Amino acid sequence: MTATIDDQLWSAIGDPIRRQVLDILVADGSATSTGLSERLPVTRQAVAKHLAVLDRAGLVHAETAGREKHYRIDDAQFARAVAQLNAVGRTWDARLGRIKKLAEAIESQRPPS
Amino acid sequence: MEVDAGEFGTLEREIRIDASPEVVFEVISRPEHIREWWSDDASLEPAPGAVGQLVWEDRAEPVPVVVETCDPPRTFSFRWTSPDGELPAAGNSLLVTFALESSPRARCCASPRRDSAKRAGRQRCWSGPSMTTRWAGTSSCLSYVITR
Repeated sequence: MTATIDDQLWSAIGDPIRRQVLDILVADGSATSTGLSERLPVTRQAVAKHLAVLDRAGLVHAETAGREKHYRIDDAQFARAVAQLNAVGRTWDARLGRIKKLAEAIESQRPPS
Repeated sequence: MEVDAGEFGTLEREIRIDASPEVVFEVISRPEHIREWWSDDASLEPAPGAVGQLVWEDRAEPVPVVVETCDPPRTFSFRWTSPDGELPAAGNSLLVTFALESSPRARCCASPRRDSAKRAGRQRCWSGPSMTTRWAGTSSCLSYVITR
């Protein structure tokens, strides 16, 4: 059986830059798109687009403080995303384990070459 | 592959199997084996573009699967988990890719005592001496990647 996968969440956390954005937010608590672009190999505009995707998926929230928006992780949604990825991974790990057992059993029954 | 893996979620794993790539390929691609490691029943032609079905007893409808790549004994990939009523295709489903590589036979066959500790957790070691001489000398490295 497959675990139910939330499309938007899956796509949001699939992008490597967005994962780096999430890493920084987890470590620092909050950041602005300017601050993030200084630490990532992409422009501020690109960071803003990534933040919009993360926002739509409910993974970050913006707070306006001063001239810039400050982004924070939504802890509950982030935990959900991690749990979903882990669930899919675990299901496939179990299948892979069964594949290994089956193949090794067949191999051991083959006549010696 | 038309899927931009950078844009979507991916899961990747690697496992070592003490069997030749030919044997592992049969296990991952033939319906009689798929029934043993995945669904309750399966009908699937291991050929690119082939549409197959996976059946679970607790599901009303069979689940469609579409084979993308079938390159024995190296690569087998298929799409599944499409929305109800749609066949899996790029953009609406998960792509599961199995890649097989043969790797030199594990040394633990020759000296089980020393290696069993070192390799614990990575690989089960053959214990009987008959095993050492029995098979061809390659094991397989099977990896799978799941993308959208």
